[in-house]
Amino acid sequence: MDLTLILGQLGRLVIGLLIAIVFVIGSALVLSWGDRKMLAYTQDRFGPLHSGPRWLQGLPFAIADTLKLLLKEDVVPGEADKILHLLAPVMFVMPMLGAYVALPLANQFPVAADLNVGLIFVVAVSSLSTLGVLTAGWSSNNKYSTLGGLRAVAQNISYEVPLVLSLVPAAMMAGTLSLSGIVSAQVSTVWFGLLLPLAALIFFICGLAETNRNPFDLPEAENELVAGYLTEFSGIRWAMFFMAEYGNMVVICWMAATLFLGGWHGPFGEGFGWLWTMAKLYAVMFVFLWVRATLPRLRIDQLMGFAWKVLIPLALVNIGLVGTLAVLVPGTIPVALPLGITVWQFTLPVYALPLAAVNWAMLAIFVWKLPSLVLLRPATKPESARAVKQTVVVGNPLADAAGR
Amino acid sequence: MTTTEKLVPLDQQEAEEPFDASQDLILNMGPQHPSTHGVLRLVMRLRGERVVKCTPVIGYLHRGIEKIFESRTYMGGIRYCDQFEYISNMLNEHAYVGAAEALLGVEVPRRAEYIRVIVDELSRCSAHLVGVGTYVLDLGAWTPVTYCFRERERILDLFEALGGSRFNHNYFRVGGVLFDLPTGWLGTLEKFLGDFGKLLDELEELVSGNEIFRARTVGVGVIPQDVAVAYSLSGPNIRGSGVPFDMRTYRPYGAYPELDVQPQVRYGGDCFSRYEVRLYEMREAIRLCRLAMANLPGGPIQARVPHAVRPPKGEAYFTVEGAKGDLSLYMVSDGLSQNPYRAKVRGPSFVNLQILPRLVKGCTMADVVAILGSIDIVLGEVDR
Repeated sequence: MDLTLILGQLGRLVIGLLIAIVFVIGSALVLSWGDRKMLAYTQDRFGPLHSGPRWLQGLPFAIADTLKLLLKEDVVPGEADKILHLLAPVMFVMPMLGAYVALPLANQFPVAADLNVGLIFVVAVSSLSTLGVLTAGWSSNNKYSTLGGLRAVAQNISYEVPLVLSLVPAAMMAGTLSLSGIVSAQVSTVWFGLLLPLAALIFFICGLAETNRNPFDLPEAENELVAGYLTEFSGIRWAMFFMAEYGNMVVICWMAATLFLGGWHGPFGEGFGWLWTMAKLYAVMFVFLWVRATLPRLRIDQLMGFAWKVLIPLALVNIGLVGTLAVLVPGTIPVALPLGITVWQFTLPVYALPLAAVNWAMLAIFVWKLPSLVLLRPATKPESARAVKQTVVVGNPLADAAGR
Repeated sequence: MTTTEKLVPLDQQEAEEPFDASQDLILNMGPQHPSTHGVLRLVMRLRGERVVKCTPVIGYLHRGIEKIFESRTYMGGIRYCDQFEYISNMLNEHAYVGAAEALLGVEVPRRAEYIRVIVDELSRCSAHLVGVGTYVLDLGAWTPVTYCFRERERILDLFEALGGSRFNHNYFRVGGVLFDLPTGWLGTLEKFLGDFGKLLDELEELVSGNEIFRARTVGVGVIPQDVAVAYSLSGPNIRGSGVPFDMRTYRPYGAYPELDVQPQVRYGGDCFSRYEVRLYEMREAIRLCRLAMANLPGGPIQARVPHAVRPPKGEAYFTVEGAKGDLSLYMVSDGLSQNPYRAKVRGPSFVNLQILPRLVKGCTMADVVAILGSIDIVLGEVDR
């Protein structure tokens, strides 16, 4: 092969990795601040406030926090498996960085390489980080850590399945596994999120679970497992996990923006593509943070049941639906949607219309039935009515209770 | 409402499952753990996520408060009541001064009794706010706890205006209360009660209506009615199991006979019922506060009791409906000393904690946290 070509590709890869690293670190800094700020405003607090001038609203706290973590003593438990304890953060960070390679930033501009199997690559590489979590849990030689690590494996492997399955419809509609190809398909038709809202929602839910965010933060459930697999990590090792968690969140949000929200597609021409990708990414991220501020945590059996009994069947039904309709209903129709001052013109395959209708209907049923789906079993409702609001005591209540 | 479940002694239940070294994991939860509500230690035998056996170990916060009572005068012991249980301080003080008054045979002025009702109910609210807030936090929701503590802060502000101290109030006196209500205090209270009602509505929407919260609490940790009675539970725990046992109506004290107290009862017996009892008890407290404010009589706030008293020989047992349940004080006077000869606290948390090993058996580890939170113990009072 031509040497210059190889060198050029290698250089492109190095530049891409640099972009990824800078982006991840920057994101982690801003997001850790945004996360706290968001949580604080939800909870009627101020959040970080006192680092730097007041108008920055404590933004430099992120830098101060990073410096603190860098300077902290690196504590390794005496009984820990030293080598694995050292490797675990690396094993967690590397797959996350690797996943950035194929993500498209703008048209003709992926972070490093426009792989023709980008979708599979990203999913495969990012799922490797589970190994890092397990290693962290195991190597710490701490019971809470071990439980957290095992929980993480169970959860991440379970939710990996519906996550992948929810991506299949988008790939089927685009007819390609290349991420930029999928965006191009959305540019010429319409955002897949509008046609496949159910798949988008399943992807979002699985994304929450994959990144261990509320309500699926069982592996590091503070109230049960202290800090889960992170219990014995401190200083820079902990910082690496922390950074990689935000990095993973960015990957998931980026995927959501790419596959369901049209990636770089937006007004003002191609030049603003990267801006649109970023805007969509952070819009999804906002919901991530918002969910954290609102929801309590699921129990492990409810979590697993929700994945295997609800999300996977739904995702499979969705795939079957797309396949069947795509085969049965051929042809395309041009559509022109007036959007404010501009007109959004695209051609839509005919099968997309019934598909969208069914998908939105399924989404509505899914959201409507969500309580019973989460419960998965009828609540063991004790005998008497729970509707009784108030009773007034007559006589000796203890004698009453014993007599009944 | 009968249950077919038999009461099996704990040691017999444990005998059923021998320790299996290849599967079982002994996990020490606490004494330093985010959700054991203090320094409780739970020695748990886990099989996977399931709890085979759970043994609570207490005593990490033992300060010998009951012994301290013996070396303090009747007036001097009141301030230690703020410390053996530090969430609902006013109620503890009420139990203590109630017992001392019974020993002395002091008639408390009616205004003082009404002020006591108001501060008691506010104290109950502040305890339930901590209970509900940290309970939801235990289940992984970060937000409601801050709302609860925000409102609790206003209750503490009210107490500060009343007695000068936010936490260790030392407000009750044998024969009355320390200070009369300051000017404008009732207006502040009325404003607070209005806002507090809104918070409870908000909590009901945010927490009670949440599917995940329901999934985590409904049907979890069910205490059947007869078991609740057999374990001598009290407070929201027994009322959540459908027994309308409330000291304010069962053995009314102070000004409660004149107020129409309606004990909150739920019939589920599960964590959700106990949570809901607490939530509605706060609504009831708002109503009782308003009622007491409307009927607040004039007159003195303290009976004429000298600082150094020497009650006649005898014993007294006084019970108040504490935030966690039946909070009683047993006091013995030898007729010679200015200090109680013996003061024994019957703490509701200590008694309620007994049922934990039975409830968590077979549950997942996450449920242990949920059940422990729903029993709502204060370790200061368990260990004393």
